[in-house]
Amino acid sequence: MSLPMLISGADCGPVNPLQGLAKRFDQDRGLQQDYFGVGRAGPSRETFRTEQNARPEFLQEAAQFFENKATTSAPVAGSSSFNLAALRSSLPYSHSPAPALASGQPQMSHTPPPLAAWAADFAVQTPQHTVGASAQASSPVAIRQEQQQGPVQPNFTASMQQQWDDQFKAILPVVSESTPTTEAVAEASRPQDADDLARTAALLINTLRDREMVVEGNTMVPNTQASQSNASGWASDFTSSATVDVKGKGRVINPGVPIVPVEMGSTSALRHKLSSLQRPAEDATASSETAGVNAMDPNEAYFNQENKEYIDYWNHHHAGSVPAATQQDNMKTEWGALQSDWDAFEATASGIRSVQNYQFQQGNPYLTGGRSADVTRRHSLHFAEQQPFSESVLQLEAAVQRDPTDARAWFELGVKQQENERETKAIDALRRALELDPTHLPSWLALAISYTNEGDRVGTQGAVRSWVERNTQYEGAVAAYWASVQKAPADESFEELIGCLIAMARSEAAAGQLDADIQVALAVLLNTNEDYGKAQDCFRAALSVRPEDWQLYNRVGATMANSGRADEAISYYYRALELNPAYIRARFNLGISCINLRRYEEAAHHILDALILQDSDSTSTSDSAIRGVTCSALWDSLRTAALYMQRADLASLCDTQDLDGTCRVLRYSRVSILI
Amino acid sequence: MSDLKVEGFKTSEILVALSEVFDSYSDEEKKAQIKKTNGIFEIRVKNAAGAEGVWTIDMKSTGKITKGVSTKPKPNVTIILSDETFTGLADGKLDGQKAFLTGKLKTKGNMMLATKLDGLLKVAKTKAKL
Repeated sequence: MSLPMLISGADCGPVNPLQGLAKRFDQDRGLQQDYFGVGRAGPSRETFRTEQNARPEFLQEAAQFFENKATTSAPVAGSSSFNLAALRSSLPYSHSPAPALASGQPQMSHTPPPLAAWAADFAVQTPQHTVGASAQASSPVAIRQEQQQGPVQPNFTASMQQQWDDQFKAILPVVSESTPTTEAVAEASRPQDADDLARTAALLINTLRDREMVVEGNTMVPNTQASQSNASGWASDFTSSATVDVKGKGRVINPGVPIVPVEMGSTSALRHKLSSLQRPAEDATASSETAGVNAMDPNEAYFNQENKEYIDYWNHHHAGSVPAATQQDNMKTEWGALQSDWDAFEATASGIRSVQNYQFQQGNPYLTGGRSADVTRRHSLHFAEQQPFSESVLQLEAAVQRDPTDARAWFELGVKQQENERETKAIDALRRALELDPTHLPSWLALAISYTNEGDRVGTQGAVRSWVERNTQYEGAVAAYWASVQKAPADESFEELIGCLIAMARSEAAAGQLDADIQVALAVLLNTNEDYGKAQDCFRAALSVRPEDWQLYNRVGATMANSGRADEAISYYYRALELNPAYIRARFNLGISCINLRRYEEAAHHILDALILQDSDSTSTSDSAIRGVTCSALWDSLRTAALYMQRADLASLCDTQDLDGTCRVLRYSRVSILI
Repeated sequence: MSDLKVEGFKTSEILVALSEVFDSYSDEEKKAQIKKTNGIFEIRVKNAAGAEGVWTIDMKSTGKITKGVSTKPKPNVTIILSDETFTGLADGKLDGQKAFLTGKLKTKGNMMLATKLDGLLKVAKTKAKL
């Protein structure tokens, strides 16, 4: 097989990887090259300068030219939103101006009210163009097309260029002096601008000369070969266009500056429009300078007028909206303060849930005094010695509020909230504790338990996994286990996590000890899997190490109750309450078990006790129901018990969560349980 | 207090409680539960004395428990079991699948739906917290 056959792919042979080679070489790169200066591409370019696509060099030069004047290109930032490149690439590419024009049209119709006037002007001006323009320029598009060809026209020899250049330079000063309007309009900026124009013209011509290959083969109308009268005519045209340029720049830049501070949405949108409008004017002038196309005038006049209207509008508008702007400034500072607060909170937070921050109770009396003030009248009355459980939620909240970065305080608060049957608050507090100190293992374990109670299996597993990963004491056993199952700890399943915990427990058992924490973690995992029998065994094992842990007693009881053995569970609850009479969770669980055993009267009393204890955490200023001090689950359970007791009056009190009323109905003393 | 109650059936007490839970549901909760279950259960319970009681749990359209056989709409599954088995299921002492495998529980109709009864019975119960 010959090489041409290989690369052309013309014949129907077997598939050859080289077949696509020729197609690669032949590929049209025009679209890619079109991306030059894409940052400053305005919609107007798409509208008018369709032929430009084929000549990226000019775009580049023009871009370079405008880049030098930083002020001119100041509001370019937003122009990326007008980048139609994606749209264009998805549309079938065409060199004809019609589709480009069509794509430009909606852009115009989208313009806000002031621009609607602009659009109307455009519509009015269009016929005027055709009247005023030369014969071949029958429409703006045609004008543009001609103008596009302009830069190509100087396809002449070097000497001709030189000649043209000389003419250009010779005419320029004469013209600028002979037109008083130019001086009148912009005396200060003119010489500089004229200088600029000359320089640019020379630069562009030089580039053309250097890249003759590019423009080769084009037919053109040699402007330079025109007679002296023609040249003078051209020169006057040129001056007029130069004048326009001066005007255009002066006006466009000036309004641009005061507009900048106003940064509200619609305004910025308008500013984009403005900058995009500004650009065609510049582009147009640039091309008129380089090419000197006669048909330029109507367009320039049109843009000129357009600019003037726009400036008028903006000056007017800006003067009117100054108070509004200051108001916005005030609002911005206000929002800024909020934002900084928000950032300060988010800096330590991670994940979506962190948005729900822990809600403290208001008017906490412990907050005013120091730590020494924590021993209050009630506690000194009812508890002879200061036991850890006698610390109320309010005390712990105060401790946390005094030092919000103390992970240990957050942990203690979380555990306390767990004991007090406020699971969501406990989770919030524990999460905060772990954000502050991810290495604190008891926090992970407590969080796992909270997630289990909320029925969040994924959360439980995640917390236990974190606990395992951060447990430095058993690193060896964990690594050995993962080596044995030949899996990465990242993709462990539920069973493997249990296996890992068992391996940890075994390694510890070999040393002749029993780590209660491992047993608890294992039990929590088994609980989520509703494997209550095994979970219970694990909790019992942990209990054998820590016989004074009321939480463990409650956990054994709860596991039993959930597996349908409420009668056995009750003794464990009672033991837990012996150790800590203020253990609300155990009291509530006791009430649930009593309901399940159809001992409703007893259940109602236990649940009411729990409710009273919860309520004692509230401050007098805060409404307990609103602050979430009492748990609605408790009220629901009490209501169920009341319904079983056939006490509709009690049930209705539960619906309104009226604690005092309920106590009265049950002839119950609120103090009784605390003694 | 309810027409569901039948003397000599512990099942009836459980069903009364369950019915109250469903009645206390808001419309949204009810809809969610109906969507989750989507079936009509007929429960035929035989007590120790040999008497039979029939209840229908409609978790397809109304979300209510009624006494007696429902003919319209027809139940999707009929569960036949003893009073003791039902209380065991409700308390969580018995596993529905285990009861089925040991022959304590028989079904007619859509058997897969019968497995959802377990979850339905647990709705009435508050779980003890660790």
